[in-house]
Order: sequence, then structure tokens, then C-alpha cells
Amino acid sequence: MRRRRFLAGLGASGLAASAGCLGFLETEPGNREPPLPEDRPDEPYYPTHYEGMEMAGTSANGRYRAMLSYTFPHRFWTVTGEETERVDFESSEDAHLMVSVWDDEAGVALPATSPRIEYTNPDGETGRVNPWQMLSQRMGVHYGDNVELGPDGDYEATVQVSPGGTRRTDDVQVPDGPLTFSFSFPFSQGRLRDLEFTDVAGDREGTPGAVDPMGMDAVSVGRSPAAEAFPLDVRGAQTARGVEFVVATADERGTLATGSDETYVAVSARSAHSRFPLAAATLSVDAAGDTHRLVPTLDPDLGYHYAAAVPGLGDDDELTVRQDAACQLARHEGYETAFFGIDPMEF
Amino acid sequence: MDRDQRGVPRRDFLKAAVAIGGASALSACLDREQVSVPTGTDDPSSLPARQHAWNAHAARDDAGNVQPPRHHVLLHFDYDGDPEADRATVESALRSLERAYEWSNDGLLFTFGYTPAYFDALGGPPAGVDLPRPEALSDLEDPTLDEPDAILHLASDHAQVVLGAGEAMRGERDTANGEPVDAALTDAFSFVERRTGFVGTGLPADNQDVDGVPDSEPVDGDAPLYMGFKSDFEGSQATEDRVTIQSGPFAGGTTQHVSHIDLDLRQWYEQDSREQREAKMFCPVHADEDRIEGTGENLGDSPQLDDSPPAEQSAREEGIVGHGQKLKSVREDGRPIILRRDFDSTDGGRAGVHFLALQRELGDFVTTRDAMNADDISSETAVGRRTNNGIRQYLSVTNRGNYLLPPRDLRALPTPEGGDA
Repeated sequence: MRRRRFLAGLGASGLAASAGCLGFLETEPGNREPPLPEDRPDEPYYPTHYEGMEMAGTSANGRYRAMLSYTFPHRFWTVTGEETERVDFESSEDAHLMVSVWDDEAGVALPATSPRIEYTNPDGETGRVNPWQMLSQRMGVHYGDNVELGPDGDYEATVQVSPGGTRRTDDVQVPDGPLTFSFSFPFSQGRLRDLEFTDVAGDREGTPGAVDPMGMDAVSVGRSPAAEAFPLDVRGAQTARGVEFVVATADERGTLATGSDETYVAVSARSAHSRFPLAAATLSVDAAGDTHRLVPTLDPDLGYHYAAAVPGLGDDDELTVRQDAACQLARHEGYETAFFGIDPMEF
Repeated sequence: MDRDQRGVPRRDFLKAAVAIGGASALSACLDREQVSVPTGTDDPSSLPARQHAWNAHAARDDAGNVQPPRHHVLLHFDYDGDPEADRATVESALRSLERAYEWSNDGLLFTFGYTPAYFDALGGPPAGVDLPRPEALSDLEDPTLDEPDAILHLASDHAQVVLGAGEAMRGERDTANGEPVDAALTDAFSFVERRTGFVGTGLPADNQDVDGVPDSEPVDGDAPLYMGFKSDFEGSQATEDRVTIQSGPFAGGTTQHVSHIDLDLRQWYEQDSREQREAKMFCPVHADEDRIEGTGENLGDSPQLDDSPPAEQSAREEGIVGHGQKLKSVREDGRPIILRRDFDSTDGGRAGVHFLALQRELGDFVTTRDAMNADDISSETAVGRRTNNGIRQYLSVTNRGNYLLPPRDLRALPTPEGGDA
């Protein structure tokens, strides 16, 4: 996005935004976003600003749904291990393109579908991108990247989605190759300009917390059930560095932990405040004298969680949950400092 | 850099010439490439029995790594004739190439191979060879399956050689390197498709004005491949012996897998850091300890992964796993089981790779690809199918094809039983 467009966008979004923005333009003309808050906490925090998004559409293929949407291009952070790498958008990039996927029959969001987007702009030029697996305070877990779309006009896009990346507790057979979803949508700078741009108040930005998720339905945004409403026997819930760990058990769950001596141990790791499932972490649990790997698992009612079948676990036995590797989802602003460096937690 | 009188950088022109092809590209190339290409031999017995015996006839770098020929052309052909009637013509065509060019990177190295579809049309699969029809090799891909009947792979350090040899085999010229061409492959086959590419210092940087590479021209002038790192370490290649079929009528041959892969270098260069690229291409420890200088020349004749932690361990504990690190698990006697002869490409106006690999059994390729996919790791750890999973984020497979490269004496229209002239 060029600065001219950014300023035009501010016209629609109110005086507070303009005031904040003009200040930074004077001091950091090369940067198109407000500077990051100083002293960001090591947990989710209120970002400097947030944006609306425009739906390109929702497309169906069998039981699956894919939603394609876009907003302003903006900074994000990729994660490797405990390190984050800030990604600023390039001057040629004019949108942040996003894909969210869910299983409509089971009513569960699919955070790990590795989409590939191909789009054709009104000039007939094609672009292709494998968007990053990401987490944002407004959109939850999705795939997104800054892209160069092109001129105003009608766009065609196909999104290839591979739903089989996560094991499931039910017996749904996932396809062994990608599914294709098709979209036609208008894109224009005017539509971008009309998107909501909200500047977070200066005394609030950078403080622990999170802005509310967008008003999308619960399935597409993929929020985990609240601890008090978690459908299994909850052993406890603890929060560290912005991760809320809800640990729960059951005799079995669907096709898993069906052995007579086995207990299904589910750990739902979700973001504090918004309860977005924190996919792409490595978790394990010490229980009944052994360390068990917790495997990413999908369940229609539990959502995306981590689970193991643990033999010989008593009702009163202690469980220790370890985050062996932090959530590797790329992060939108407000999440890039969170979820790292968590010590083992006893339940 | 040398420039011709119209100001086109000479190297730029030569790379474009191979991609564009045709008689005018060849004649312009002959004008500009001021080289004397050595001619070959009319004594077939002086040439190796294996078509894929290239390494003893290739250049090597200071560390002893085989340097792949810089220019490559793949020609696809269909066949709908009588092998008994056409066999002598095909052999004559291929011998014309051997007569015109020395069997070397300075002359021409080439192979001629056949698909499962070719053998099926003649009654069944090639005897004693593991050569299935191509298929998708991960749940993220839906490739076009390349099933022509035959494929000619031409490779040389000189653009004019792959151009001239290709034109000759398509019946467009009756001489090659000044020698007469007695027959063309198109005397027996019909031409289907032409693909092109390059590998070696400078060529990726010269070819970065394509889709898939950002406008910032991030590919370093020293890079032998688009992704910026050396990959032709002796220690990360199978030997020619390891990939050669040992028994049966096709003993001395090999199988060839050729895929085409789209590259997203925008994410690789503009969004990832150098440290992330090192970790994802090699191993997180290489990045942490800053072991790689430039393109990796300093690593010598191996990617130096012997003391890297197991892929599973890095994935579980660090949430990232390197490409080379994953492939350690399929080594045999410390070396891979496939021999890569891959090269970059601008076909379709996009940055890509023609990933060409030789192996004794096609299954060796599938095993290697499975290790790269690392589904066992991505299903249980912080590493995703693409996220932090080596270089999978940046690669999208568009085509796959499987071929048998018979031994030289069976290369002309072999029967499934290995019959020949």
C-alpha cells in the first residue's frame, strides 16, 4: 500500500486514527504503520491498530468450506523456534490475502490445511502464493500473506486445500490430495479504502489483552470451548505467557484411547482472552510414570487440541504438561511476543 | 561483463537463447559463444555402457564436487510405430549426436529414456525394473502427470550445444557442430514438448527477472541455484554405481524421475532472514553456529550434517527442521540413494526447478521424497506440512514423470523384455 492510499483510507476511519497516523508520518515517513508500542509484554497485547476485512467469498467442496478474504497489507512475524522475524510489506504489495477453512458437517475449524492460492487479475496476470499459517486477534488461526493483486476489477481465484494434516477423533476419511475451491470477486482500492481502520488508544496499546475477534461465526473463526464448558472432565486450567492450557480426561474419545486401561488426555492450548487454538506447537505430558507425546488432534466438540492415550492413569494422578516447542504460527501484531518460554505446568 | 554491440549482456542473451530455442536463437548463439566445441567419436565402444555415466566426464570444483553442465534441455516425444522398423533410425540419430559432440560437459552429455506408458503399449512393464506410472507424492500436490513415450535430456556447458543438438534431433538441421546428422529422432517419434533450464554460478542471478522472484533481484551472483545455496556436494549425492540397475535385461540402466516445481522466492528472500534460510535448507544448528558462508562453498564436499541432531528431535524441541537434516534418514553408507541432476528454469515465465533424479528403483525416489515430506514429524510436532518443514513452504510441484534410461546398447526402442536390434 502506498502512503497516499493509506491516508485516503484514514479519511473514512475517524479523527483519532488520523491524528495518530499523522504523528508517525512526520517522524517515520518510510513506515506505513504506526510504530510498535515500547516495552511489549511477553503475552498477548493490544495492538496499535486493527483493520476490517473484505470477504472475497465462501466456497464449498463436499463437507468443507473455504473463505477467502483480504485487508490492508501489514506487518507480521514468522516464527522459528523461539525466534520471531518481522516481515514488513513491500511497496508493490496491495493486500493481505487470507484463507480460513472448516469442516461444515463436523462444525470444526481446520487450522492446518496448507492452502495454495492462485489468482488472476483483470489484466490476465496470475499470482500464486502458499500463504503462511498465521494467528491474528481478529481472525484467529488462518493462512495469510501480503500479495500484489493489481488493478481495480474482477478477480478469479482458486484455492487448493489439503484437509488431512491433523488426525481426527471421528472416522471421517480425509482426501489424499488437495481439494479445489473457486472464487470470483471484485477488488478495488476503493473497497480497501472503505475498510474500517481503528487506531487503538495510546494508553491501551501495548498493554496485556487482545481486541475482540471479528464477528464471524464461531466455526469459521475456530474458537476453543471455554474451560468451564469443555466437554470432558476438566483436570485444571492454567495460563502462562498468554497460553491457557485446559487439561481434561475421558475414558476414550471417538476412535482414540479405546483400550480398557487407557485414558484420553486432552490438552487444549488456546490463546488467553480469545480462545484461539494454538496450533503448531509440540506438547507432551508426564503421567502415570511416563512421558507421552501429545498429538495434534481434531474433534468436532473439542476443536483442535493435543491428546494422548495414557495407560494406567488414576483419577487423582498428577499430570505435568510440557511445551517442548512453542506455537510456530506466524503472528499478527499483538501476538508476536506471546506463548514463548513456558515452564512445565502441574495439574 | 561482455556485451554485444546492441548492449545485451552476453550471458543474459545466452540464457534467453536456450529458453526461447529455435534456429535463430541457435545461429545468434553460435555468433556470440566464441567457443570451439570438441567433436565426438564414431566408435560407440569407446563410450560408457551406461547412458548416465556422466561424472567421469564432467568438470569438478576445488573440493572435488561434480559440477553439473550449465545448460539443459528436455525434449518429450511420442511414439506410434513399429520398433523393429524404426530401431536403426533411432540408433543412427543418437550416434549422430555422439559423433558431433565429445562426451563431456564441454561437448554434450545426454540420456534417452522411456516411460511406463511406452512399455505398456508394447505389452507390459520393463523386465526387472521398478518403474511405476507417475503419481502425486504428497497430499499437498496434484501434479500433471507427464506421460510422453520418451524423453531426451541434453546437457552441456555451452548453450549452442543443447540448442544445436535439440534442433538436430527434431529434424530442423542436418548438421550439428559441423558434423552430418544422419537421422533425427523425429524420423521415428513425434515431438511433444520442450523444457529448458540452467544451473551454475551466475545463471540464476541472470535469470531472476521472472515471476516467483521479487523485483529486488535478491539472487546472489555467486549462487548456482535460485535458492542461493550449493547443493551438488559429493556427500549429498548417490554414486552412479548406487543408482545403476544391477540385474536383468536392463542392467546398466537406471530410472529417472523428473518433476517440475514452482518456487516462491519472494517469501524465501524477502520474508525469511538469512538465518532462517540456513536453518530451513540445512539444519537449525548450521544457522545457530553460523557454519555457512555465502553459497556454502566453505562446507567442502559435504553439507556437514553428520553431527546434526535427528530431524525428529529438532522438530519436537525447536519447532523447525532442515531440508538436508530430514534427508539424513535415507542415507546408505553415509550417502543418499538418489543422484540429483536437477536444474533451475524460467519455463512458463516463472522461477522453477526441473528436479531430475536418478535411482536404481523408482521406489528409492519415493522413499527420499517421503523423508522430505516428513509426515510422521508434521503430524506430531510443531513442524507443519509446510510451516518450518525444510523448504516445503516455497515449493509447489506441478509435474511428475517417471522414465527408464536403458543401458546404451538398449536405448533404441527397447522392448519390455529388453530386446534390441
